[in-house]
Amino acid sequence: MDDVKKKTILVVDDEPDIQLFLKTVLEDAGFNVMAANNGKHALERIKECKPDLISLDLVMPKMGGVKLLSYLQKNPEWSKIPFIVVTAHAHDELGREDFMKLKAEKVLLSPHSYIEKPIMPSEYIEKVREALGLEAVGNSGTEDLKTRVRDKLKIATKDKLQEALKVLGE
Amino acid sequence: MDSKEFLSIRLNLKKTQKEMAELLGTSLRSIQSFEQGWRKIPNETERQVLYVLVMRSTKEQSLKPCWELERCPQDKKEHCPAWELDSGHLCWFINGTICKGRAYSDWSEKMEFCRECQVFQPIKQLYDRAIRRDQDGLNEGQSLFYGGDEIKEGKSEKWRSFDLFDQVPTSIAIIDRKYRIVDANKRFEDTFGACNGKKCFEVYKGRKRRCRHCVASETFMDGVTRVSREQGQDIKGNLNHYLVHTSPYRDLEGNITHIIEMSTDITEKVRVQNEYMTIFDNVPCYITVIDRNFKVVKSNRQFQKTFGKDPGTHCFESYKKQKDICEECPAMAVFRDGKTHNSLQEGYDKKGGKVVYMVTATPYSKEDGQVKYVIEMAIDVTQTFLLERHLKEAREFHQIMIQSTLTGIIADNKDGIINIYNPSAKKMLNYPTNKVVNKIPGEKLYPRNFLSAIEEGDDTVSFREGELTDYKGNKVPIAFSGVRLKKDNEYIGKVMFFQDISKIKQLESEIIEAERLAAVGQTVAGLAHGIKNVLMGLEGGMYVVNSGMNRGNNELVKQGWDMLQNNIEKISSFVKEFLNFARGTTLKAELTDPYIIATDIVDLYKDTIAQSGIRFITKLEEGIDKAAMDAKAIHTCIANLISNAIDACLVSDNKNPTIEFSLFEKDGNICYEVKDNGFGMDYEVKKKVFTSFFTTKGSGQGTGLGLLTTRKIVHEHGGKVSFESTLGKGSVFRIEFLRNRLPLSSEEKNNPL
Repeated sequence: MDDVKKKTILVVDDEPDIQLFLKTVLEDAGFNVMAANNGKHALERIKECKPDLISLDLVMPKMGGVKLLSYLQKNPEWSKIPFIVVTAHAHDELGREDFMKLKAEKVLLSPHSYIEKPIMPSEYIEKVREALGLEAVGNSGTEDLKTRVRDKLKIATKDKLQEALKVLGE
Repeated sequence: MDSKEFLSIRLNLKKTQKEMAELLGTSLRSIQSFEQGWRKIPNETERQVLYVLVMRSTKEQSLKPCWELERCPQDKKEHCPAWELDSGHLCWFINGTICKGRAYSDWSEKMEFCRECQVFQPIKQLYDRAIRRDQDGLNEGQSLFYGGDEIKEGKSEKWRSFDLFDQVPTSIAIIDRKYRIVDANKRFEDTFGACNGKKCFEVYKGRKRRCRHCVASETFMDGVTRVSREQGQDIKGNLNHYLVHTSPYRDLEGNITHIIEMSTDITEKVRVQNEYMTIFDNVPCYITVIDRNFKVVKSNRQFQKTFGKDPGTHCFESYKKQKDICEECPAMAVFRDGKTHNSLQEGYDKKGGKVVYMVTATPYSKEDGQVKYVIEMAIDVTQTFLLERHLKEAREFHQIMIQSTLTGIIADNKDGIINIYNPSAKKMLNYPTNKVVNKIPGEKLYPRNFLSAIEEGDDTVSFREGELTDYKGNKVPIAFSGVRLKKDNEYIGKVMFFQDISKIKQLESEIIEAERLAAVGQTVAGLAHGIKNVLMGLEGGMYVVNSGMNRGNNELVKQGWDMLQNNIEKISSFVKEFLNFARGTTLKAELTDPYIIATDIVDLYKDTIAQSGIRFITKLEEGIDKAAMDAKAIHTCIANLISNAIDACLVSDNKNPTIEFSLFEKDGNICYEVKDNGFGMDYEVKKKVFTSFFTTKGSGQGTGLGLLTTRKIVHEHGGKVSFESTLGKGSVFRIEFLRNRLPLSSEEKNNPL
């Protein structure tokens, strides 16, 4: 897990609860974590210390996620930082437009990615690792399998159940 | 030589004009012209005349030659053509004489000199004598006239002896060639005054010179008897008219020596004629006299003014510009039966405009029991006719409007009986027309509030809502206006215009309901989203607590617990707000003073605002009419806006944060406005202002339902919410209520009339 410890992740979310939650999840997975309340705040943090990945909320006061991203794109150094968009608004009127814009402009191509709330810790970590180009923590013990199945079941829909069965089948 | 000299010489020579003409080898007319002074006497004629005079005189007396009289020196004498031709007594006649050493260039110049010369004097005496004799002749009477004595001693004397001359009812004057009245009868002198020896123009007309158009002179010239109409002045100086017969009187040789003028006084006739002509021309109708060939033989000025001076020879041409006789010809009817006929006709004036006239055709003169002329008197009724037609058109137009408008119209007369009940009214009320018009009083149909307003003296009333009862007794909701009808300040009835608003009311409530449902739908969606977030918070909290416990990190556990607590609180506040939002769908609208709502808000917030270091400006218009509003709900709305404004100020960097709260009414639009110079909104935020659960206030503050609730309440009042905002500069939120869209107050609901 040494590879993980070297990585610093910036969590940008205006909601302190989510921020704390994500921070705890990432810390549990062994990452260094910085936090910011909005885009402006995040920029300050990035200037202080360039993170390896940014976990980004889209809808925030002062400076939203899209604005922050476009700001980062202008800086050749920062534009290479991978990011994960964490949003509850991918499909509602608050965030749909921003989200569709990101998709349309192909900003969300690998390694960048997105994850919708509610966030399952295991899924979140998986995405983060993917984005960082780290190996999946996968098939290492039943505890992990248990967590993954539980996570899938929590958001059980027909598709998700099938996905869960697939995991079990592995 | 002037005409006087010429005449004298002729008289001296005792020649008639005719003989004189023969003698001089010229025409009689020329001689007359010379004597009248109409033509200048030419030099050769003058020489001729003087020569003849001298030749005649030399028979009687011998004239001395000029050189003797002038004592001409020998050397000069021998060079003078008078000496050469041995014509010393005719030296003035010969050109080129050199009297006093001078030869004159032409005859006129020479004669000017010669006339003063003593050689010429005997000749001058000859005709001077003749002139003198002519002038004296007035007293001597006969000397100038050959046989002229006859006038005095002949016929006129004879007339006088019979008193005929004075008895005839005509003024008679005898005028000589000098235009002197040499005799006149008594009647003449009674009429024109004494005339002894005066010139005719003096006596007849009081003129000093001959008349421009002198009939006497014409008759003197050609001997033709003339009749003329003259205007002169009588003995008293009054204007008079007379008819003059001018006849020549000839002497034995056929020369016209005198003129006899017989005049008849027609002053009275002319006056009457003028009167009739004035009436004829100026009477306000067209008068024409038409003969049996339908030709217009006379027309008056009014006629000519309208139909043209020479509009055509036949009546049908002049009146109607047509080529054939009219089908219904009043003149023809008169010619047929000799009675008066009236008829209404249409013709065309000189500009082609239509003329409508009432014509009276009447027989004018009859011969052998047959009408010879018809006089047509036509009164122009074009204006009346046009007016009538316009009136008819206007009446028809009104009728069509009343019949086809979608607005119901019911009117009654001054006795209160309904006289207008249009199809739209019938459609709404279903009373059969024949049971309403002229049958029942308006009171039976009119709404009570209309009647009472009229009784109170209002001339026009307008009610947004009222109620009528239809034939079956059902209530029909209407909007109406009514007018008390007056003509010259006298009451002549009342009329009401109304529209069935049951459909409109239904549509209105449907729209409001749809808007409400949409809002509810959005809210539910938002709620689900909100709950999802809360759930997320709860799960996250649990995770953090677990993680803290696993790590043995109490701080983290505490943070997790706080998170759980926060989210549980959030759920409860959601539920409260949501209940508030979804609270009863009916408003409790009462007649409320909008100003009071505003002052309540000011009282509620002024301390909070002051404590926050924000300036609070209020601009509240007093005396706005009460409006049907749910005061509590409106209060909530404004409170939301003020609270938002405070927050916007608090998060902004503005050093002079200000909130301005105003209330005003414009064009029936009651408007509350909250303006701040706080943080403002960017485009992204503006788009999401009315979205449920959208908040920029960070976690824990605001649920994102405030503006949504505000909008819902305002919509339920039929009003609207609008805002303008600029990031960094501030926002204005405005809620407006259009009076005529406000709900009915409970009072109005209970007493709709």
